[in-house]
Amino acid sequence: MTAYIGRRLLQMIPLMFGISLVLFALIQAAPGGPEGALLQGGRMVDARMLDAYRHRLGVDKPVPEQYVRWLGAALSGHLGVSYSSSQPVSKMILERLPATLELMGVSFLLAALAAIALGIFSAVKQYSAFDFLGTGFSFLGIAMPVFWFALILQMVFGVWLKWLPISGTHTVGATSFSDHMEHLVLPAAVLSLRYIAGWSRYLRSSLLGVLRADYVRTARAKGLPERVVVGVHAVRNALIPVVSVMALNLADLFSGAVITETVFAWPGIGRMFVQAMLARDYPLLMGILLLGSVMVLIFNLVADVVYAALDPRIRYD
Amino acid sequence: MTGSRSGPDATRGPARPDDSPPAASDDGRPLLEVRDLVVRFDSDAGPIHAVNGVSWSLAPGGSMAVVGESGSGKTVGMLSLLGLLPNTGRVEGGEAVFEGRDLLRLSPAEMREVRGGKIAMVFQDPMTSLNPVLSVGYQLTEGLRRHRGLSRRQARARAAELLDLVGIPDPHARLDDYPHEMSGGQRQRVMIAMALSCDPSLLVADEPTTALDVTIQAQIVELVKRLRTELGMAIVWITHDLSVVAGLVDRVAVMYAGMLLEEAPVTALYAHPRHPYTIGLLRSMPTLDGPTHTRLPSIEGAPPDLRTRPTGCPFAPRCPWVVDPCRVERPSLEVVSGEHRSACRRWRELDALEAMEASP
Repeated sequence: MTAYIGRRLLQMIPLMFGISLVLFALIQAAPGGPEGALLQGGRMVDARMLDAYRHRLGVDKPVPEQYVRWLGAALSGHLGVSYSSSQPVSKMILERLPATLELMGVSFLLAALAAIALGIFSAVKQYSAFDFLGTGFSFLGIAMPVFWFALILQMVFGVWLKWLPISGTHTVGATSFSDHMEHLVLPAAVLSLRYIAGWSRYLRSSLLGVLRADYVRTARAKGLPERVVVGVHAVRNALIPVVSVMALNLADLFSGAVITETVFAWPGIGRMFVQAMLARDYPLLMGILLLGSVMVLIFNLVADVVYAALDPRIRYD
Repeated sequence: MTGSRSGPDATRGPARPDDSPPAASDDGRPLLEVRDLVVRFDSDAGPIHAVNGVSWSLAPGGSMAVVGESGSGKTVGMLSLLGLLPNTGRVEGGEAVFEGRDLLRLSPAEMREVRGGKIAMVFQDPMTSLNPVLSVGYQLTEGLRRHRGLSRRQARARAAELLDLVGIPDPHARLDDYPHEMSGGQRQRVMIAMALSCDPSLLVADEPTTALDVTIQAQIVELVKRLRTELGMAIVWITHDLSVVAGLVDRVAVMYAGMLLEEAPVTALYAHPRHPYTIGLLRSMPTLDGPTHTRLPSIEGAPPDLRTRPTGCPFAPRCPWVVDPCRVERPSLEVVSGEHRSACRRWRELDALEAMEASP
């Protein structure tokens, strides 16, 4: 297994080269440039000033040359300096990463626990009122646009009921843990909703299939209580396909955080990404997009490893 | 052994000298007595009449084969006794007295004590009947820990003994194997070991050799025969293959369309079948001294559609010797001799009818 993981990690190196090339080309292909930020500032600028600005940033050079220079720096560990803040990109990302990872992690745990509970109950009580409610909730959760759901929650819990804060990570001046947790509730609820909906559906249908399997009948024929038949014999098998989907979805959670962080003013990577995009901050965009790509690759590997851990029939060597 | 329409049940009441209940043990009480069992399935097209009033009994340590084609109700009947029917199936009537209690009226907790503890089942397909993500050792020890209250360590030691008992070499090492690391024959041995783990008084084997190739089939049959003599439990062997049961069981019950058509000691059934369906089944078996390069005879027609409950004899539409009353009135199981019963109203004439058919 260790050798397999090592091999998969090595395979990622050439892949990352390809990905960086595509990303670089795509970013450059987008209309406009970093000088646009100057113009948006509303200051009087003439063409000479713009040229000087472009020359200073190095974006007046041919794109292949820019890529080679960027790559050379990236290989020695420098992801460049942000155009808009003049700070090192790696420093900016590392500052914002904990907030995003916290939101992602909490949302993932919330989604996984809720989806597993919901999925098991829906399958065991198939066609019950609970099952129908769960089905309705799931379709709602999958169909509802994230930003809209976020706005509704802000209105209901923040404005009308005044139970929860609607933006940021802390109340100004407050440092308590509970204050921070209150700020986390709404964004985590929004980010996890569609995964609760999707995963619980998936687990429900997987478990419904497994509950009809011969080995479940064998378990019942042994005289095991239903709790053990479902909890040990059925759920473990039903989770195999669901858990790999969960691991793959972790990468989606990262990009899904963009909208949620923006709506809730959560100071994470997602919000910084939107700002970098608007400012055509090429080095920062490259840094964030590469981080997203690494996450996709890593979570793919995690999915495969978890798959093997759950199912003894799967062996990598 | 009577059908639901037969008068006084021959397995109950005072035993007549030449007609003592086949299931009677020393104290005269059968281990399991099934009376008028009726099982239905719900379907979109209405109820499916899967088992239509079946009665039989089995003595402690006795052995019986239930023979019939797919859909004859042989498996469903046994599953219903243990409450293992799929969601759409339910028991509509009858009783099944096992060690003094009616299995069909047990609470879920009482039923769990019986399952695996007193009555154990071996299923048809060993490839799908073992849980693929749990080790063989875990699956073997579950019953021991629950029914016998053994510790993990004790259960593991007992599980290794059981694997040894069913002829799996190097049993201690194999406990940590997963089902996919074993062959089909080995997996069925594991299933048997699992069934035997809590010393059940009845082992129900549901076509345990059907999914295995022929040489392995013979090994499994030999294994069960050996275990039966060693452990002394009763056996019900469900099969569609008459050739498997010859040396294995004392009695054979032939089922068709959810009814019992004939029931006899195994030698009597082979030598003097007293039901046209049994005769048809035996004729369609290949024999070593039979003619070569000819097609095996088969029974004309197809089994009845169980969406309508058969009126009259269920075999009437396919019977070569059918007479009008067969189609109208459901025949009862009549005593042919001793423990031999047939649900054919013309069983007395069958010798003559067969002779006529052979001579023209």
